[in-house]
Amino acid sequence: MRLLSAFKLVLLWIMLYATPVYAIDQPIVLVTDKDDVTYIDCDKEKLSEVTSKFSDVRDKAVNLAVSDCKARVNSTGDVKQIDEAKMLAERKFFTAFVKEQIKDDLGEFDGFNNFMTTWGDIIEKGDKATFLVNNVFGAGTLFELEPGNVPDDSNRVLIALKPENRCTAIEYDGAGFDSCAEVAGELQKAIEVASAFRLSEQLTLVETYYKQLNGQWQTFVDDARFQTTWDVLLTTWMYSDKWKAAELQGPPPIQYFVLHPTLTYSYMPDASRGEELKPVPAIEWFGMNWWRNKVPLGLSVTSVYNDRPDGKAFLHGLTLHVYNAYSFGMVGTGDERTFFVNLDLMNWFSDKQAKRDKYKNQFDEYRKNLEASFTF
Amino acid sequence: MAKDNLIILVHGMGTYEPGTITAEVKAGLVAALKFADHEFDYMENVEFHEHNYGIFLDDFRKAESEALAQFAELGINNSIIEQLGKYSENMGGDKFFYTHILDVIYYGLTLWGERLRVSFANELISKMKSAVLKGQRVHVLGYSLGTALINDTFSKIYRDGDTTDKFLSISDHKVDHYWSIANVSRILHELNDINGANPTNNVVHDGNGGCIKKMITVSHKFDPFTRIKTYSREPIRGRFQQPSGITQLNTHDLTGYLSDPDVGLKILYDLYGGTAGITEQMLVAGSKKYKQSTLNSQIDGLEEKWATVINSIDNPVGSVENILALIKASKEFNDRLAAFIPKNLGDNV
Repeated sequence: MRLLSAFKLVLLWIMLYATPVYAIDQPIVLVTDKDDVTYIDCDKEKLSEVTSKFSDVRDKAVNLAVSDCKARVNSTGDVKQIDEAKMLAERKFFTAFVKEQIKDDLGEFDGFNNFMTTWGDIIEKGDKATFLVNNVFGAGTLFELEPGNVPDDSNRVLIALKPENRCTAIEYDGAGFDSCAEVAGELQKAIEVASAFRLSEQLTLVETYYKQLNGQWQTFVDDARFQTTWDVLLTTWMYSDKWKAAELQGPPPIQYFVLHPTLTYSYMPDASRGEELKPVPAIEWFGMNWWRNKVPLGLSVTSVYNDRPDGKAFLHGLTLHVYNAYSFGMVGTGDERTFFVNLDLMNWFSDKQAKRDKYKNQFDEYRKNLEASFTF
Repeated sequence: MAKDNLIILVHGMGTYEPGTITAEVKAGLVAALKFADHEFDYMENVEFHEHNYGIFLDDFRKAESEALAQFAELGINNSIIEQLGKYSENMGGDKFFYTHILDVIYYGLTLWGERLRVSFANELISKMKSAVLKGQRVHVLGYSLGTALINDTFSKIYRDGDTTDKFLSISDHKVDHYWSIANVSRILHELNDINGANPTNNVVHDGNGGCIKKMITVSHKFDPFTRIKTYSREPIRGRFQQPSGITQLNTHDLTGYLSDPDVGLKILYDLYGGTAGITEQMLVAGSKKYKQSTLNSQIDGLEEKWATVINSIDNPVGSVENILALIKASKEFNDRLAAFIPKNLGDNV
């Protein structure tokens, strides 16, 4: 265990404690969504899973994370004015403490001083620091400060931890290490946790946005009308700029349909006796569906194959789609006027097996009489 | 207590049951260790998480085929699936190619690609958030079509500067390691043409301005899927590896990739460094043993066969043609190899 000199300890104690303490009694609401409330309560227990063999360094880093969190956010969830002087003192205490604690074990490795100076400057400015444990086969372990954190990122700032036997000889507070990678990994966990609340807050904000976006897509998949690949290709094409955009997008507001086959149950009031009600196929030549309107509504230009002795073989008209589930329409004119609903809708009205069997039998009969030339 | 390394696995084309890609990765790493005659508990400090976007694609395929089956019974034949079915039959009726082509079409040419990217972004960020409070490092291993999903999603969610409510900062939220196996992101970029997602100059790299701390790209010399619009961007801190050993008919196989000690053992070293106990001697001996297990020397005129296949797909006209040429080339190369590879090894296609 490395001990600071008494003088330094007193100095650090003054820096740390001779400043006001921020007390927060209630959890802080960071993000409020109807179904999703995220609390940032600056509670150090949230970091209890972050363990390290550099345990005292880790503890101080956690304290800094908590202080930083409490200093920035007040109990109403608003960002408040930071007491810069107090936070600077805490950060300086932390960086000085870390350097003092690890220098006996790591100070002789190449790059240590430059690394600690650069990292210290970043932390003292109140910025975040992230690291890479870069294990390079044949070259050992490089504990690197991420370039994005470094003012001049053309230079890599790192501690070259090698050879392995120097790392395995380290004993920190009674704990040994089995490799340089472990030394670097444990140190990373110990000091990176100082930024954990900040990083977590940022990720919470982004997560909220993408959760909503993902929810929109899930609603589209669950609620919108079924589309064949051709429909999807057309809808994709209609919104082609949207998908090429440099940021992620929600689902299309309108669904498009082309050559969309459907099964309908048709009713021709003026047909021959016994021919009035018939299950027949239909095709939507082109259609649109405003699937996420308050009242989802769609319209399609439709042709119905008329398998009756009465009227023309193909009757043309329109289909209305409501609530992404109900479709009904009218084709033909005069005596040929035919009304229809789609079969899914028929199933909505009855879940009785007998009724479904009846439709099935009717379709089976229809299939037998289907003209061979009826293809799209 | 959480393990230090969380690896998000993103699979390739085709149907992946839960646990499949984890099993494939494990099998590859175990094989690599075995070649080096080395025992190491590589799961000791690693947790895998599968991002299974294939479930969505399977659902799309299933919904369409079920719906269209009804119409087919009525004699209505209007379906891209049927066209693809015919194409697949022409290529030997192999389901492998059928699902692969559809996956590429769905991802690269339709709005479902965006649905998959949003889902991946959502899951990734959620995992990153929980990891940061556990002190975990987040890595990604992407394979085949998964590399395109990763490339495009990262391009859309990472930005220079501070993190906002929509974008992750490349300074603060980098992915630790990205192992990119059989990277096909350039081909898919040809199809979806997403702004800022060109893999040759986008944010998905490990240099300045990149969103990866260390990127490792592995592209098998005889993998037909990596031969058109080959991904060849050199990592700054990572590696670009081109293994060439053929141990089975399917040179695009993930386990096959990782079994090569030069690939598998180095992944373990990336994660564990000296803790893995992997030495230079082990790597050399393992690689030698692996080489002895390959079939390269038994395949007469391998280079010529490969050149023939590559020449046949040298100048595809457009992006869709690229994909079809790719699939054809893969089939052709497989056929040519099949005659030389023992039957029990040729099953995994």
